[in-house]
Amino acid sequence: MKLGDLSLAQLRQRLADNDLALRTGPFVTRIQSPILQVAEGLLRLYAEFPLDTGEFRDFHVRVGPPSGLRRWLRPQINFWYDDHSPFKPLPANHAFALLEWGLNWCVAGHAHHYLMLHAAVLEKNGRAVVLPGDPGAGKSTLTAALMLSGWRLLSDEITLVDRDDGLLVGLARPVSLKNASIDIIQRAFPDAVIGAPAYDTHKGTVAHLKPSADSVARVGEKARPAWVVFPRWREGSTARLSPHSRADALLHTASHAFNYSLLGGLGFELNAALMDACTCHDFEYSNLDDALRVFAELAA
Amino acid sequence: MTSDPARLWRIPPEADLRHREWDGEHVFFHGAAGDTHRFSDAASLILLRLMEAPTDESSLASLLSEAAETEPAEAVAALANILTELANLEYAEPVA
Repeated sequence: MKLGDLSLAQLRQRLADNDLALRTGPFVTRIQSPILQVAEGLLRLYAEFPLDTGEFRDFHVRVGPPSGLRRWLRPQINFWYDDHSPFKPLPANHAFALLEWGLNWCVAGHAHHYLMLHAAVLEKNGRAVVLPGDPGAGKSTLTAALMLSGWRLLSDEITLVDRDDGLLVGLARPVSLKNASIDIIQRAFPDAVIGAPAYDTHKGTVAHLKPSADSVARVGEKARPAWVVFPRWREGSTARLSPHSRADALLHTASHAFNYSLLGGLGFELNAALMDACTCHDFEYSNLDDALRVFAELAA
Repeated sequence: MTSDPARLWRIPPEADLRHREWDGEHVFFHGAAGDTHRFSDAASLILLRLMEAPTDESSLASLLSEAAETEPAEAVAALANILTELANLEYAEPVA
């Protein structure tokens, strides 16, 4: 059964009853929430994802109003993992964004049976590109555009490296778009399904892009890494790839990883094997069409 | 640290060093510290030798001198700087 098989009323009931177990790649999350925005966001962006009927859940999360007097003074929401709340309460209209950030937090903080790099990852023709990127570098915009142009999304935020075979494992969760990139993607891809924006978050305006049906349907297919590309949006630049040293790529991805040091020597070996398998590039761009052309040539 | 040709150097036993080289660039992982560093060709040469076996300063200086095609005295001075750096980062230590 897929989440989209439920009506909004049915989904709200299951969320209220703590009876919704969502499978996203290798993880199953039980989600509880009385918040309408959470139900609407899930239905809009996770409709293709399977519901899990097994007994085991990786994560138990809840999004709802905090307790106490404050909830009556200013509508707020909070996120709980089991009974632990890792974040401060946020304005109520950030509910769905908070769920997304919370799900990222769950994976990044607990899935240590993978090496987890802070990078997007997509696949085309059996080969995957890993896109590390500093905030504002244009990583999410490029990730969204590639997915909407036929690349299979594995993740826009967390690259999972399987410790047994070094292959990349998919999550295929929605792509987090921020500020100007929301309009850029909506204009370039009018059919893209984007959720309700959350305004004035600590990242500015945030809206999530629905993953492609192909990305969700094939989420169980691991991908072989082929390229590490460091994107950089720069106004007026011509889209082009240039060589990036593997040593530097390893140092960068290691320093931005979620659990590299925690894994010790295994983290180094997995990250080094990733670099062994890839060619590494810098990628500067200003125009999405040009960027997509360069990536199409790369994957050809 | 003053140089001593007979002094033996080694990798700290707990360091569990790992190494990769791509296109002439060397990266080392220090297992005990969980740190990753990129070292110069010269420092990498010394580390790789020490990963094989503890080695005295005289042999390390000769190795450096041959690889860099420099005078022995110049190599000794360079080696002192390299060993100081490696010792500070706990990648190498004199054998007591």
